[in-house]
Amino acid sequence: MTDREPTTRRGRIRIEGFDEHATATNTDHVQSNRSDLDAVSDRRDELDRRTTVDRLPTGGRSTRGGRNLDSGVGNKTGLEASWGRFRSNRTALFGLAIVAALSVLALFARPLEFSAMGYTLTVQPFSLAPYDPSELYVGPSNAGPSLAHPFGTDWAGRDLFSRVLVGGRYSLSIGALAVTLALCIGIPLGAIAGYFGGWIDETIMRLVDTLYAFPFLVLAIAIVAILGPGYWNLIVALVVTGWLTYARLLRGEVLSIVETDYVEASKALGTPHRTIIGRHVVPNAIGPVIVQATLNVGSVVLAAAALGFLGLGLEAGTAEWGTMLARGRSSLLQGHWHVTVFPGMAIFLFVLAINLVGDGVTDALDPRRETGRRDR
Amino acid sequence: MGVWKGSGERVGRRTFLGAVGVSGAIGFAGCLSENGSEGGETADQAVENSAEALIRNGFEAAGIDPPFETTIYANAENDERIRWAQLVQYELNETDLFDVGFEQLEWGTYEQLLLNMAENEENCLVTLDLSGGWDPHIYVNSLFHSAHRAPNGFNFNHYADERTDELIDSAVAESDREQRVETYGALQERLAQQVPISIVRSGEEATVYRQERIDDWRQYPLPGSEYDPVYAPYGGEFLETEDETTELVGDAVATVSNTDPVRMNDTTSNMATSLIYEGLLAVDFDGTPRPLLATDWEQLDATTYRFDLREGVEFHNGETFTADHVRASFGRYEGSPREPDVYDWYDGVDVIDDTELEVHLTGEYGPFETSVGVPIVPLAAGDGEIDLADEPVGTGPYRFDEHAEGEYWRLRRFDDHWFDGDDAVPAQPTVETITMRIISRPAARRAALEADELDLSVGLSADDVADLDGDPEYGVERAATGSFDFLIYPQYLEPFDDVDVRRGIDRLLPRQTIVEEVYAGQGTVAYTPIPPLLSEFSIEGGDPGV
Amino acid sequence: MSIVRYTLRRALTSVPVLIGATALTFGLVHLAPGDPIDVLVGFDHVDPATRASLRAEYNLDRPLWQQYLLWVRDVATLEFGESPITGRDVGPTVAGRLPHTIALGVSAWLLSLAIGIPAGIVAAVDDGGPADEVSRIGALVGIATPNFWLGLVLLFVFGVQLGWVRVTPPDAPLASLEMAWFMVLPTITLATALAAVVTRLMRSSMRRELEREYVRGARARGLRERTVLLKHALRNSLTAVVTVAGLQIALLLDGAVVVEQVFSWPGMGQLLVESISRRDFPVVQAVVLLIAVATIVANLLVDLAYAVIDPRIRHDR
Repeated sequence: MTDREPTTRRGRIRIEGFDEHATATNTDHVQSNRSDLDAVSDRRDELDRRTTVDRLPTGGRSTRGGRNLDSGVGNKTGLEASWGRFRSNRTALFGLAIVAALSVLALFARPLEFSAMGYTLTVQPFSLAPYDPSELYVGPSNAGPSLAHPFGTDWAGRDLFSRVLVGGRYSLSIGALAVTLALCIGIPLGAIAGYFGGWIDETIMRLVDTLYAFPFLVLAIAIVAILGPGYWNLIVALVVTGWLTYARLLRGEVLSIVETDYVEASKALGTPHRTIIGRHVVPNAIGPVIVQATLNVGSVVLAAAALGFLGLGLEAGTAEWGTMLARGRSSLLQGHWHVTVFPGMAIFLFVLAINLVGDGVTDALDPRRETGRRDR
Repeated sequence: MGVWKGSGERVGRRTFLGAVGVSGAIGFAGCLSENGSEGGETADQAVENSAEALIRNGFEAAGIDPPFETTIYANAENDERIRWAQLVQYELNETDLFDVGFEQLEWGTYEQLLLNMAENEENCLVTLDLSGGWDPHIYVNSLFHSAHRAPNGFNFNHYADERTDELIDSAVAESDREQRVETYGALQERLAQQVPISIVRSGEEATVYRQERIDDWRQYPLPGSEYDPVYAPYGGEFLETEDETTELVGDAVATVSNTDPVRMNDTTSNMATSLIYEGLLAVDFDGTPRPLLATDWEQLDATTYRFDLREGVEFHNGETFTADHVRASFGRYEGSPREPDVYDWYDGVDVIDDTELEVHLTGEYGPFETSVGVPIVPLAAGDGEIDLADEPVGTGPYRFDEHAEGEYWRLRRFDDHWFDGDDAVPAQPTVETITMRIISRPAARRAALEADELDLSVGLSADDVADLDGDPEYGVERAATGSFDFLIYPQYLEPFDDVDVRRGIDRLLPRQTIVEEVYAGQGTVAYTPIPPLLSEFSIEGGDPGV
Repeated sequence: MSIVRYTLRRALTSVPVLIGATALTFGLVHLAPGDPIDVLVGFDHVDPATRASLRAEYNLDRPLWQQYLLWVRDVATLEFGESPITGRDVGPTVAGRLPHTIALGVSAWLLSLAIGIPAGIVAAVDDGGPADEVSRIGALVGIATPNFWLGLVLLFVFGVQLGWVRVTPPDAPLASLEMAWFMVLPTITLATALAAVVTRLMRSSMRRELEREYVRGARARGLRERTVLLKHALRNSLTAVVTVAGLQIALLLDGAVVVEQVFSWPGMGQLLVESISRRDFPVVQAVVLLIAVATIVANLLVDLAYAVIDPRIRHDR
């Protein structure tokens, strides 16, 4: 404790007596005293992981101070047990089924082809969507739902049913890609910050704090305004604002794992830091991050839709759900309700399903939470 | 959001780009197209074949194998533009000669693309619209003159043609009307051969009002003067309300940003102040210059005009209008952002006495009478006693009352206005206060009108205007306006440097579909850059390129 | 550690974040394409000398770092400069919008607590029962509904179709009955997702309290269930929820940007979107910075409040 200035120390607050013990036994190297400065960060994480119900800042936080590393999710039996718990969770399975169904519909909506050097490789020949989503005037413009066009048509006579199906490709892939890329930034930075501590930690976490001072959408608007709209620009904006949560969460977890005797021992034996982080620290700390990431797929899709609504998402013609909704702003008043309702329902359904899955993953990864609670 | 580029003075001298939203560009229904909607399939087919042949020629000359890849752009804020750009994209891709992508940019980025496209040799087709005023010079000068290559004007694709420059220059430096008509005719033909850009549609202004509140409305054709029909003695117009309504509530599409004439750069601010400020002359609803603060004027020689000024005119702050006000008001433009409004032609003023003055021009200037009517402001504005940006003060029939940033802008009747009444217009406006509520979302404007929160709307989208047109509750008043939508070619780049390619594409443009589908049948298909509003100058009436 | 020392320490850590926030704000705004002078002169052929003098008037001719320092210096004295686009002072422009956003934010915040706390309690008490399920599904629905979509639908149904509320804000002072009535829909729209979050937090924190020894003890001693709930469990779990709710400012501001667009609400969010499209740099900077500072300060306050409530936070040494 003596090697750090109070203002730069980051640790964890131990609230349960158990931690006091840990503090007493590891006074030197281990950052056992959770710094007060982290209180807000952790509550912020709490807020981000809106639906992660059981991780409250006060008292509720299950500490992992002296836990057995073998019980982490990196362990095979742990994974199996988790999957077992997940499988017995009906609502989570239902959510998973919806996500799977939407993904399959999006994938098989239109054939997938890759063209390179004059050759066209058809990866996926099926076409569930009755029309090409970008084909103009396959029906009258702004027609309501009918047999030929179950969801009606938009201003240019494009088939909305086909567009909603294919639109899943954008929304789902944006959600998945943005979260994956954000994880790729957040996990290493969070692990490094938590593992090494000191000025590295300080720098990374101050950066995180600074970015956190800007509400997500405000920052994303600024980034899209600079880069312009477009698929990859949208993803960049979502990643820049998205990695913060993961970094912060993982860092918190890592801090508690670094304290364990096992990691201490590995260090003493001269195992390279990279190996310790990669083999022992991250796998054991990643559980909450996975939960968060699952839930974030939903919020990322919502955020992309909100940007689309503000005219800062994808190009207007794109069959992305949020972008289709942006057109619906005036359609609703003009009586073309279907233009607004169906893409809106698609977003709603997907985000709802993701949240159901997220809940399931939360419960599955942390068996302790199941005690005293029935199947959720 | 509204048009926020350039000036839109009542006697608009300058052009401005329609950046955002629907401001202004709303067309009129029932106007038949000139390229033969009755022509039938065969004629269309023939046009298409000849168009494709032209493009193929160009491709062969440039050694390009179709399909040629390019991108068409629109800006995110303008819904109609996004839609017509997509229609063009679709039409070009149908020929298999092009592989056109579509991209949409936020206005700031779009602006940069426009300004730098030629510099960076961007492979792009760009969609835009432009509004101007009562003189043809406004439209052609900035778009086509080689001296106005972006960023010093709207000649975005750096088109440079000596003959074009010559025609533009000689027409503006000519005050004989017949001579000018002839020159602009030649210019339009030249441009139709060269096709540096393709004009697609000429626009329209429309106001939708609630019949129960408003009897009748007359639309001023140019943006920036939407509320003039409330009381325009110069044009013989005033508003008679149904019930004894003394308050009129309308909308504005964007916030009022700056109301100082020498800094004003958006149409909303123009609109908000057009009943506050008056100039020497005003251009009436048909485009004829009329006396306003001047009672009479004459051209003494090529570069000198003499004005008799109106007596007994009082400013809202109590000052009495004299010739000094004119000189001071013109002088304020020097070094200001709006400097070219006046200093393009202004050399000086000789004050003869309080009610008579001579304006000297730097050279003969054709559009003088439609340009001279810049707002005359009190001397207190020059002394810095009042800040016109916060509180506009003029001589008009309404004075500034209240401004709630982002909410509304309110005008109150000025009881000491100079007009004494005549056969057509009473001495006093019937409407006591005019409230312009700032509603930036088009859908919300319509909703507000339908919910009886507005008496009239000047900023409805074309779709909404068409929708409400049949409804007996609403009156719809339209007027062809001085604006047009156009497509800019990257004529600095192969194969677009070939005039055949540009002409081919020009013929393929689905003008009729754009007018009907995107603009709900409002506006007219257009081919030349001088809109039909200026009927005397425009040679509109057929595709001169064929 | 004393509360004073803790306060000082905590406030100190906000300083680098604050500096970072100003730099980021400035950087983002100036990275955006577009030149305000171009906008000002309407892209016309203005005399280069005029252009240069306008540029100098707004310090746009200086190197970026100098502009940044000048800006920070002014901002430190709450001087936000003059907007080149409107020619008006930025401070009053922003200040005029601020009350609207605050009013909307505060009412949505209160509504979310008013819905979320009881719903969470009921769900926790009824663990696994039908009320729990209903609140859980309700919360999920609230989270999954895009707020702009909800706003549009509400506005359409209650404003346009039924005519119960106005579709644009009334021409009345902010603190008036008319305005309060108009604010109902935007408040609901903004509060929905927040209420869902609060419900879930409340439920879990209450649940945990209920499982604690002292609650079981109290029950064993035969205290009435009501007393147990209200006196013990609720109080402890409320502190948690309220402090977390304090952090919702970021969520509120995010929501406000969108909701203000839907309801034509003249707040900061609308000003931000407008100013971005007008290239009104000083206004964008002021708004973004204000939002960032509000977030930082809110975090700070919540932290301090938290430390007062729970002294273990600052037991540090």
